Amino acid sequence: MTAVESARALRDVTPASPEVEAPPPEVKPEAPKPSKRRSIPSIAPRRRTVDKARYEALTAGRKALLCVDAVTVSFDGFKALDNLTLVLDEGELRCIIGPNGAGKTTLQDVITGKTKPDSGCVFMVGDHTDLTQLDEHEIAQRGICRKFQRPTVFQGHTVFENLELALPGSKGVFASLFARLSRAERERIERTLELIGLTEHAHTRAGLLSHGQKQWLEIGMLLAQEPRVLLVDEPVAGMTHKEMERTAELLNALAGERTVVVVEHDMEFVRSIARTVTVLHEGRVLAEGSMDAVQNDPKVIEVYLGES
Amino acid sequence: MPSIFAGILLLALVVFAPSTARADVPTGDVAALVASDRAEVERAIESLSASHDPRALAILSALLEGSLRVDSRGNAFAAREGGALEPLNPAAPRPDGPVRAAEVDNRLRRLLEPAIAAMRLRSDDRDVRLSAATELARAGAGDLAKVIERALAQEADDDVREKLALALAPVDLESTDTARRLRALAAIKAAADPAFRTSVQRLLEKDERGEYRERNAEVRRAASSALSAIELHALWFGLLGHLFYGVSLGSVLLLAALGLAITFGLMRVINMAHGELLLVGAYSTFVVQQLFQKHLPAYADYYLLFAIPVGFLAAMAMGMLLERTVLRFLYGRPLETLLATWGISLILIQTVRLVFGAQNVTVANPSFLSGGIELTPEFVLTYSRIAVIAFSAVVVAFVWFMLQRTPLGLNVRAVTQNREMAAGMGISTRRVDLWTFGIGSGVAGLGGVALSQLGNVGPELGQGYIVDSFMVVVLGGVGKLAGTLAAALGLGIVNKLLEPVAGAVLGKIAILVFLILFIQRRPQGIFALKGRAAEVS
Amino acid sequence: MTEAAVSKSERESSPTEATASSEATEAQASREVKAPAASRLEPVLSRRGYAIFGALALFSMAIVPILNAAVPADSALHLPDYLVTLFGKFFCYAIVAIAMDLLWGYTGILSLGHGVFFALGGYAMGMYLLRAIGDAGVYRSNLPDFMVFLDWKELPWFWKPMDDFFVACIAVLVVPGMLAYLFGFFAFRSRIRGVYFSIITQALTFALMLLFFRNETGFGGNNGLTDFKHIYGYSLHERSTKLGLYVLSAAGMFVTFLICRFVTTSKAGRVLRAIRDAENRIMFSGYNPTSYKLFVFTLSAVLCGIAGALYVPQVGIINPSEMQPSNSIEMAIWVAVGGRGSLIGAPLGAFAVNGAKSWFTVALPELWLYVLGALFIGVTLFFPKGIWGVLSRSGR
Ligand SMILES: Nc1ncnc2c1ncn2[C@@H]1O[C@H](COP(=O)(O)OP(=O)(O)OP(=O)(O)O)[C@@H](O)[C@H]1O
Ligand SMILES: [Mg+2]
Repeated sequence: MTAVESARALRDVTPASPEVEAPPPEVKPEAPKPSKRRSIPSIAPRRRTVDKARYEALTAGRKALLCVDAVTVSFDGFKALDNLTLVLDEGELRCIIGPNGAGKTTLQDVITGKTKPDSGCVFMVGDHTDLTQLDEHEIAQRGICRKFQRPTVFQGHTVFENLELALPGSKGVFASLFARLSRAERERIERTLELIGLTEHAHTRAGLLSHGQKQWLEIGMLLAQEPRVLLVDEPVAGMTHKEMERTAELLNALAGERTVVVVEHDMEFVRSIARTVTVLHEGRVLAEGSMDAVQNDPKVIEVYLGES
Repeated sequence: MPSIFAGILLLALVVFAPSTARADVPTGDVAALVASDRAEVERAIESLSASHDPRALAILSALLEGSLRVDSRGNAFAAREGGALEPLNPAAPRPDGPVRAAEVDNRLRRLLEPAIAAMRLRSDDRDVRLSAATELARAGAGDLAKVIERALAQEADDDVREKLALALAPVDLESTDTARRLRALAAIKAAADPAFRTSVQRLLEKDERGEYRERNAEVRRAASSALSAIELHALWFGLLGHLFYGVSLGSVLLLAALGLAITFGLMRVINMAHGELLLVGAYSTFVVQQLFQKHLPAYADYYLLFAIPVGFLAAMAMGMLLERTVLRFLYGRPLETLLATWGISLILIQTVRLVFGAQNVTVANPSFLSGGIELTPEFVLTYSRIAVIAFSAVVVAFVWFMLQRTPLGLNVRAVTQNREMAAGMGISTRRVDLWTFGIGSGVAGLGGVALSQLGNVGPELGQGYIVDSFMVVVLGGVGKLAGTLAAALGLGIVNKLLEPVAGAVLGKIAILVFLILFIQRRPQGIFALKGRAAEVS
Repeated sequence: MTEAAVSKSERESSPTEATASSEATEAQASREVKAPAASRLEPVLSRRGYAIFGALALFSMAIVPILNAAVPADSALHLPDYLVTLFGKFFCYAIVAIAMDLLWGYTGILSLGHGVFFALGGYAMGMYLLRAIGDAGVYRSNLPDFMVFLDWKELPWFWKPMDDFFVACIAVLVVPGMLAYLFGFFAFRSRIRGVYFSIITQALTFALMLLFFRNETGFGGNNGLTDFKHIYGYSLHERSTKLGLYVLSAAGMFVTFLICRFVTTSKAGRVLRAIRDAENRIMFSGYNPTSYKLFVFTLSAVLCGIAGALYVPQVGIINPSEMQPSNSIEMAIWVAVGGRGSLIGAPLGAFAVNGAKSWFTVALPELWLYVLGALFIGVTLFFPKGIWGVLSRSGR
């Protein structure tokens, strides 16, 4: 079974990811700007909603899913993201490239709630909540998942348990105290195991896996999580050529179903999967378009491709 | 008679010493001071006390002290420590012939005291008069009421008058003369001396029949305004006092925490035995003191100067030993380090108990650190506290210098910022770890030396500081020397200001609660885990 | 009681063991044959585990009392009364150790303030016991002796409901639980982790100790609460009451073990371990680590409160020195000595360390602190897995 087939197979058994029901767009007066980055999570639920006009303007005329609206992040005065706006469409596979320090990882941090921006907001279509006001786990529950630059899996758990923890479902304390694994869930884990080629290792502790196997396990965990948006930071770093091909296949297969954002330095890899490429530079979008268009953009050549 | 002597003095001034402004004190009178005939001595005192010459004053003062020596020619000298003779008559710098000591007994003292006081109050020099009046005001008029009264009548300077009135106040308050009571209250109000609080309060009280003890309404008004002046003054000095004690406590905390700021702040080693490194410093001081008392009793006072390097080195050696034998194997495992160092602290405490006994040992302040500057009776700046404040400033400067201006400091900072990179550049991280920990421990030892000067030295000394020290370091922000400084002083001052309001225990609890809340508000000052760093761990 | 037997059986069910693979696949295979609609991934205890658990429980809750009460005093098998009370105390410590292990071994949170929860449970029970004295105290007053001594005229409000045994029992659970919840809420919300958490919990116990040392706080100051006479109508000096308390303590430990075992083998247990290993990942997987941490912290505090409540009637006194930071750190060493992350090592450690303490403080009192100190150092340096780690390795 190729990765593509298995990805399809996986899609077939699982119902389409649970849509977050769109609440009627409510218009609220703009709440006061939140203070700086995570100083202290306040006790009261913060559900700042997105400005309606901006919402319309950004999503109009396209199948948008995730919008990053005028986000600025500064570290001690240095702007890692500078008034950055980015709209991702549903089912799109977007590659983000840019020189070191361009702000690619910071952008993912903002989207997943790890870094709170100084200004700007992030929202998903169909939901007017400003994601920058939520905690990481709440954002994850809304279907935004990320793969770290280094593989992070639960080293002390078996591969099977790693996947079990990733499954969607109720994630509260009491729910998991009394949680039982249904047959469907078990099958889903087994299918994922097959897909990432770790079936024989299902009951091996993840800490004992090789680096590449951990990479796959983490990807498997993301798939098991059934995300709507998948953020992948440098997925092929440290992979062999063959593994790279497999990853490219897998990502290509996933796109269409889910929105996938890939940050990558490896140009060959980007070319093999890219449909739309966004070039970041100094926290701003330098260029956006097809790989060819971007590659021929003189600005891009100057700051990025020209370098190498 | 005095006028005759004055005339002679004047004559002498003109005839014998035209170059100096003053004449000699009559040597005959001086010689008479050592006469065996008591009447002659008294007469000489009387005649000298009529003099306006500051040297006469010096001679009588020496007599009162018992240090007066007179040679065969009637030249006066004051015996100083170590047997030296200080000439009180510049014309005779060296004694001629055998020197006799003037005897003084209580009867003469009773004669001398008012005489000297009167002389000083009569002095042409305003400062002398003022200091005499101030002393009197502090001691109370006592038998000298008449002398003071007379001086007050002649005095023109307001400051001196005020002091004199204050000296008379205890007598005046009891007086039936309204004017004198008012004068006393005015003086008390100006001085705002808390010693008078009860006696002034008494004036405002009612007796059993519900009438004021003080019948005169004007006096009562004066009394109540004097009372509020006293209260205000007490408040200010109380505040000042708390501030001073706060700064002094702060510098103690600083000394206790500074070593921790290095070992924990820079190296991230949770050293629960830090308190016992203080203990090592304190007991080193004790040992040095004992050695000095035994072998160099003459220089016993200077033991402290030796205790400082000894305390530093002993704690440093202990720290380096710990680093080599235990901590080195636990880097990167903070919770394990915490437990292991706790074990070390238990062992050190028990060792101290077995060697020095479970009781506190006495570490005496050297004489140059005992006593203090008395600002008001209830507010004394003790020298030992002042010394500790100064000492902590020096230690902070030392640590700063070491970290910022020495090759070792450079290496320490390099290793703490990026261990791999530093290692790659050829820095021996193991050596740097060893020395960093050693110096942090040594600084703790210095803290121990300072603590020994302020309080009891016992096996549990260190335990009392461990929580506080961690709080200081955590509050100040890990790895920031300036933060540690601010946190220690801030905590010390807040602690001392809270103490009178809430009591020592509740004050301490309030501070702990405050700290926990503070950590809530500003975790980023405490956790370097920000952004990228968190991702890896 | 053969420890080797325990070691073998428990190894199979121990969640942290790396050996799991073959046995677990078998277990899974058998489960797939039955194919229930939904099942727990891990059983609370394996069948063998239950057998050994039952044997141990029977031994400590039936045989020990028989050896004490039914075997004649001159028999070699007779267990003297003081040993029964000592073991009762040890079982209380073991409860604490298990609760600490749940928190530290599984979730990676080292609390150095668990002595507070233990003491609060103890104080809640002590308040009831003191009220149960009635007017039989030294001063023959209706008020507790220390209040008479302080010249208090009336019972403070927080003492009033404690006349009732059941209210006191609820307080035993609620007071430590509430404190842990509040404290944990603030601490975990601010993402205070690792040693920082340890240090502020230490500050917590220090602060509460100071508070309880004050007479005005209303818990007897320095001397604490003592001179208890009855519990729920039974005299505390009777052997039967002592035996009853011993059995309750033992039962408490076994139940605690089951509760904690239930938690750790559930999905929540796996989340806890995941928090310990990779908090970021679990957060980005949609779990809120704060609420999980809060849950275990509160649970373990409540368990400690129960332990304290069982402890106080057996030792007959509760005072603020129970809140000394050193006491809480000692609790951590029980767990470290026994072995973290197995729930079995922790009670073993509590028995071993306290057994050694009882022996040394009588036989060689000056040496005890050296032994304890050496334990702290030796365990962290040479036996990071503790007794249980050594046993289960050699049992393999
Ligand atoms: N927590 C932080 N504190 C201070 N500066 C930061 C922090 N995180 C990121 N930066 C800075 O922000 C800039 C953008 O960093 P970012 O990691 O987003 O770049 P990147 O595009 O992912 O680079 P790379 O290709 O090397 O991964 C960098 O200059 C970085 O130094
Ligand atoms: Mg990056």
